[in-house]
Order: sequence, then C-alpha cells, then structure tokens
Amino acid sequence: MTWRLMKNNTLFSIGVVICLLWLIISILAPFIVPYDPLEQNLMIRFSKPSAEHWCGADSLGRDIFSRVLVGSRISIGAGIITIIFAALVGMIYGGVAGYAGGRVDEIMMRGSELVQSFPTIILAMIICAALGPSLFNALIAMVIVWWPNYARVMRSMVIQVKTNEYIEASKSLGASNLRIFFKEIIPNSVGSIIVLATVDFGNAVLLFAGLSYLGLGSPPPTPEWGAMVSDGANYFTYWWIATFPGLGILTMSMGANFIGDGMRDFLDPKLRKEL
Amino acid sequence: MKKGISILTVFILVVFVFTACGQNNNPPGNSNSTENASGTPASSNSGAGEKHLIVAVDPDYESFDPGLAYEVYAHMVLHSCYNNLFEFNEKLENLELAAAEAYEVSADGLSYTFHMRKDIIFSSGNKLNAADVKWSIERSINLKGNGAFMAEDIVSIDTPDEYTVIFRLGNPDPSFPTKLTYNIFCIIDSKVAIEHGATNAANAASTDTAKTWFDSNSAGSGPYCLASYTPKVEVVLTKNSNYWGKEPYYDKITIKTIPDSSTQVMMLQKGDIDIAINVDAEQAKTLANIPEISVKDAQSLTMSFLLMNRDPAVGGPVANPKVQKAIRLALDYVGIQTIAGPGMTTPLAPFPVGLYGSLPARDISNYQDIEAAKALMAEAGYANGFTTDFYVPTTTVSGVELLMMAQKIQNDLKVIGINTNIIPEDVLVSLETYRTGQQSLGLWYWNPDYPDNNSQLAFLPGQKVGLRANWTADMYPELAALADKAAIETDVTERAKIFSTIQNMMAEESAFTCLLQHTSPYAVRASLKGADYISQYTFDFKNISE
Repeated sequence: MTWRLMKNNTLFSIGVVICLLWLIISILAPFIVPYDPLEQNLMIRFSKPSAEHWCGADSLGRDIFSRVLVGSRISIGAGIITIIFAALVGMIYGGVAGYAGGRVDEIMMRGSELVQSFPTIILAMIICAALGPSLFNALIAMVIVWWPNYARVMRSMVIQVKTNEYIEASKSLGASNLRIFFKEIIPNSVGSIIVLATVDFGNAVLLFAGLSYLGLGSPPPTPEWGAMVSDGANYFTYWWIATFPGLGILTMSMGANFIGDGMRDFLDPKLRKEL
Repeated sequence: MKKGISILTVFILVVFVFTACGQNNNPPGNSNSTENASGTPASSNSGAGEKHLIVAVDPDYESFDPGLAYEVYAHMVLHSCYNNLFEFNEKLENLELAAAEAYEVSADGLSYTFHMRKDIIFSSGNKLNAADVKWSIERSINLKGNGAFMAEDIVSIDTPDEYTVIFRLGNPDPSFPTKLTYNIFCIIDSKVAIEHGATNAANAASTDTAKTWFDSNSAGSGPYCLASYTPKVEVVLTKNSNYWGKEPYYDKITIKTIPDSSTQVMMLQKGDIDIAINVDAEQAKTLANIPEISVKDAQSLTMSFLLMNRDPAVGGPVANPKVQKAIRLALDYVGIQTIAGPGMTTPLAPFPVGLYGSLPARDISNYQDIEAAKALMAEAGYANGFTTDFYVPTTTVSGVELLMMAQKIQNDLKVIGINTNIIPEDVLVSLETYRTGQQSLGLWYWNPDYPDNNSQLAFLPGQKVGLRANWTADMYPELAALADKAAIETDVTERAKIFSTIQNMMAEESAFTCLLQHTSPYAVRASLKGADYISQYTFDFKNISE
C-alpha cells in the first residue's frame, strides 16, 4: 500500500521521507550530536550560526543544533506515547459504548463529549497546571484530552461491525460477549483507528510543543522544542534561538500531516478510483 | 490585470501599515486624548518659553491620595507635590530632614521630637505647621490604606506648640526616619483637604470623601502641584509658585501613560519625550549607540538569592553548613552577572548596596573556588555528591528570568557533585512552600518594604526569612543576638558598626547566598542633568534640569 501511495502521491512521499529522517535522527541523536546539549559556555552565548555551531548558541551558550537533534527524541516519543495510549483508551471506551448500545452508550458518549467540549490546549493546560509541570504529567494531560476522538471513531465502527452476520453466527454458537468483543469486533474495527492515529501524530507533536512552550513540559534544562522556542521569544534579536527548534516542530508536524493526508486520500473510496 | 491587483495589494498594505503605526503613537485613549496630544509641544522646549519635561511610564498608580497610594510611580508624583519630615536627597544614603529643621530622639528610642521649619507655605498660601503634620498622619493611619502598616508603631502624635511635633512609638524603631519618607507621611494642607471632604477621624476609612479630589489635585508644599490626571493618558504637574525652596527648572511636567516599552523607546528617539522609564535590556543595547540618548542603570533594592534549608528533614544533605559553604564557593558569580545583564552587583549578604549601613558588593572576580568547595563537600561526607530538588518560581525579576538563572546554578553545582532537579512552579504556588520552610533549595527574590536595613534583618537566624530556611536563633546565637541589637539601636554610627559585623558574619556563614542585586535600564535625553534614578522616588523632578 505504501509503495502504491508513494508512487502516486508526492506529498505523501515527502512526508514519509521527513518522518523517517526524524526517526533516524532521534534514534541516533546521542551519538551524532557535536556537543553535549546541556553544556553551557558563557563565552559563546548568543553566537550566530557558524561553522562550529551550525545553529548558533542560546542565552546560556548551549549549542542549539545539538539541542534540536536531542529534542526530537522527546517530541517523537511524546507524540507516539500519547497516540498509543489515547488510542487504547479510546478503543476500549468507544468499543464498549458501541457494543453495549442503548442507555450505556448514551451515558458513555456524553462523558466523552464532556471532555471534547473544552478546547484541547486549554484543557491540557488546566490538567498540567493542576498536576505540576513534568514530562509525565504533560503526557497524562495529552492522553486525557486526546482519547475521545478515538472513542467516537471506534464506537461508530463497532456499531457498523456488530450488525454483520458473522457476529450473529458467533452469538448463536454461544460465544460470550467478551469473546465476541475481543476476537471479532476489535480486529475488524481497528483499521480506521490506525489511520486516525497516523493523521493525529502531527497534531500530538504540535500540542506537546505548545505545552512545553508554556513551561508545562519537562523542567529545564531538558532540550524540548517548545521550551526552546519560548526561550528564543525572550531574545527576539537573536532569531536563531527560536527559529531552529521552530523548524523542527514545523517539519515534523508537516511530515506527519502529509502522511496522514495521503492515507486519507487512499482510503477515501471516491478518490481511490483515481489512484 | 494581474499587475493591477498586485499594485492594489501593495497600496492596501501600505495604508494598513500606516494606520497601524498611527494607532501606536497615540496613547490608548479617546477623543479627549487627541486634544491633549496636540496641545503638548513635540519637542520639550518649543513652547513659548515654557520649560516642559515629558516622561513616559508604564504606570502602576490609580490614586494620588497621599493616604492611600502605595505604588512606586505614585510616590514619584506625590514626592514632587508634598513635603515629608524626612526625605532622601539624591541617594538612599542621604536621609535628610525636609519639612523639619531639627529633631531629637529620646534615650529609650520611643519618642521623636521634630522642630518644624517656619518658612513653609502650601501651594494654597496657607502656612505649614505642626497641626497639619498631626492631621495628615492621623488621616493616613485612619484611612487604613496599603501603606498604613508603616505607621503601626505610632502610639500618639502631640503638638505642644505650633512648630513642634512629638511622636510616641510603641517600640523603639531606628528605621522610623526612613519610614517617614513614605507618601503616607506626606504633609497635607489640612484646611484645603477638609474643604474637600477629608477627615482624620477614627472612622476616616468610611467617612473620608476626598479621594476623588486628591486624584487630580494636590494640597501640598512641594515644588509642583498636581494639575490634572487623566487615567490611561497622562498626569500633568505644574510649578508651585508658592514653593519655599529652590525654584525647580521645569515649569510643567507631563507623565504620559505609555505601557509598551518599545513605544517609549521610539518616542524618545523621535524626541517626543525626555525620559523613558521602562526600557528592557535588549532595547538598551540598541540605544547605547545614539549620542542624543543616554542609557542609565536604575539600581533597585531587589535582590535574588539562593535559599538553603537548614533543617535536615527538609534539606537533607543541603542542611549541612559545610555543604552550604561549598555551594557559596562553587557558584560562578561572574557568569551569573553576565547572564543577568550589565550593571548588576552581588551583595556580600542580604543587605542591598546603597542603603545606609550596607557594605560594598562582594568582589566576585576570584571568589569562586571549586577546589575549596570540593574539599568542604568531602569534609561534610559527600565527596561523591548527592541529588536534591531545586524550587524555582517561574517569574522574571527586573527582566531576569529565574528559570534561566536556575539552569546556570544547576550547571555550577554539578561541578562539585550536587545534582539538582529543577522544579518550576507558579510563584503563588511556590510561595506557599517557601514561606512555610519546606524548600530544600530555592531561588528567590526580595524587595525591602522600606529602604532601611532594618527590613533586611528578616534574613537573620530566627527571623521571618531566616525561618523560611529553618535557620533558628540557636544555630547561630551570636548573629541572632545582633539582630535584636540592630533592630533597636538608634545611634547612627553604632548602628552602622553592628550592620557591618552582621554582614561580615553572613558573608561566610549563612543559609542564604546572595546572587544579584538587580538593576533595570532607563533612557533619558543626553542633555538632561540630574535625571538620576533613586529607588524611593524613581525620579526627583526638582533635581532635573538641562
């Protein structure tokens, strides 16, 4: 599928290349960085991008290039963890609601809409602020605001799947609800969840950058892209401090969105015929 | 066609940019403000011989009632309109008599007798006498404003004759003369004030109706009178023709409300204003190359310091006095000053440089001694180091981001084996654990309530701030005893001696390490003379000339 898509969709290919590149960088970051990302050298503070320091140095004289590379690990990690846990929570919640139907469904879906009725970033900020700023708490906050999407998609998939004849067949064979749920319904609905997860990855990276910009991510001196941009915003004349981590956020979320768009096009039956 | 569209776009953009700039220039105001703006000459002295000083400020004031105002810039205005018994003359070290010509303190330090000057007349023409002093201060006390705590030691005010005032205090307080410089002790023309609804009665807080009048008028004996106050636009001061002292240079002073510091800088560059009070460090750098403008550092009394808890249950290894000494030696003060910006100093002990009795700043050029610090760590039994929490409020002190400074400190402490987990907290959250002494290591700041070193005695063992580090009096009895002695010593030279001993003791052995005494830049037209910052008043307008 990936190959057919890449052949026909340039944006998708660009997205794949960018994301692969960032993935490789994030894995290799500790081995390829030219400087220790935490090392301070006040002699070079605010130095411009140069041959020694490709992206310049920040207000404490730390090498921005090294910090951006190492920062990619946190961004990618946060994105992936958020999506995985949000998808798991959402799948189970939405699956139960959809399978049970009736009043249980009504009540459970009102619960998820309650979460969705708040603007994502505001709710995440409130949760972070209440729990105290740390990487772990930021992830918790992100999962809490993120799962309802998955719950909704999962519910609609389950409602569709459960009317199929093979479910009826299992039921008449005497299979328990639990068995039907995990053996028949989940495997048959998981496809669209995976697509949603891919599309969502870029947004999760963005939300995390937003939280860390507001100082709600891991405490300093951890090189987080959002926190680095916020640091640069204090020193506007030294454009490189905010620009390079900003480019990191931009490229990664853009790459992820290209992939997501490509996949959506591929799965959209109307557009599919053209491929 | 395409070309036409692009030209149109450019035209729209240009118009947009111009209107946007235009809006910036005008003070955030209304139709009234345009009238005011056109009425003021663009350049300071272009009026018909009238000398006009224009100052831009991001204001904090909302009232100019001497009994109620407590804001920094309100005091700037009030100091020009009123006289006090004491005032600071150019420097905080020069505390001088103002409306009185002599004073005596009783041997027990409980009674202050002032002999008033007989030549002072208010702007209304009334004579200033002892009754006005008594009336004004009683009014301030009874209004129960934010600054009223400074008068809480006063038991009674007596006026045995027309030009003598006697204050009786409940406790001896050598900082009383300093407190008398505050605007709640401004001497008001009681006859005029009473006409406008003011009262010194015990229930003044609910019966006094003069606030609105005081907001745009003054009844004092200072060099200037408050002519008008338009909230969010400007304050206008005019020369007091009845002023008893040396005639001030400027006929009129306008204090414009310009909240945005970059707008202040732009107006100063264009010559629209003479003084820009709120300039940030980055803008100061760009202004430094312009010959018509001089950038100066306002030495504030705000200090930032490292709190090291003395209670082993809270501080763990940090509570060990040897570790605390090691931390003091391990810090790179030169680097900390570099990060904070130009003009900063590092006081020896929590006694700000510039106050009476303070010693000069620490010589930081070779104070850092990593070897000695490591030796102390080994002596304390932590040769391999340890890990501790480091609480940092997420705020900015005079333009210095505390989190930034904390990362520098973290870096310095790592060298001697102390690993710190920075815990950034909202100030309001962090204040709670700071005030109850639950922080092992904390980065904090302090601004004295009044510019007298007595307010700094809080840092001594067993006192308010000392206890936030769980530094109790029995941990350092000699120092704790000096705190009690300094608090009541009224003899000026003896006081200075005690303060000097305290500072030398605390420089080496203390639960606090002073990091910075902050400054913030301001910019003035280079031809101005006497535009020197003094933290009590910001500026003393009567000293400014060309």
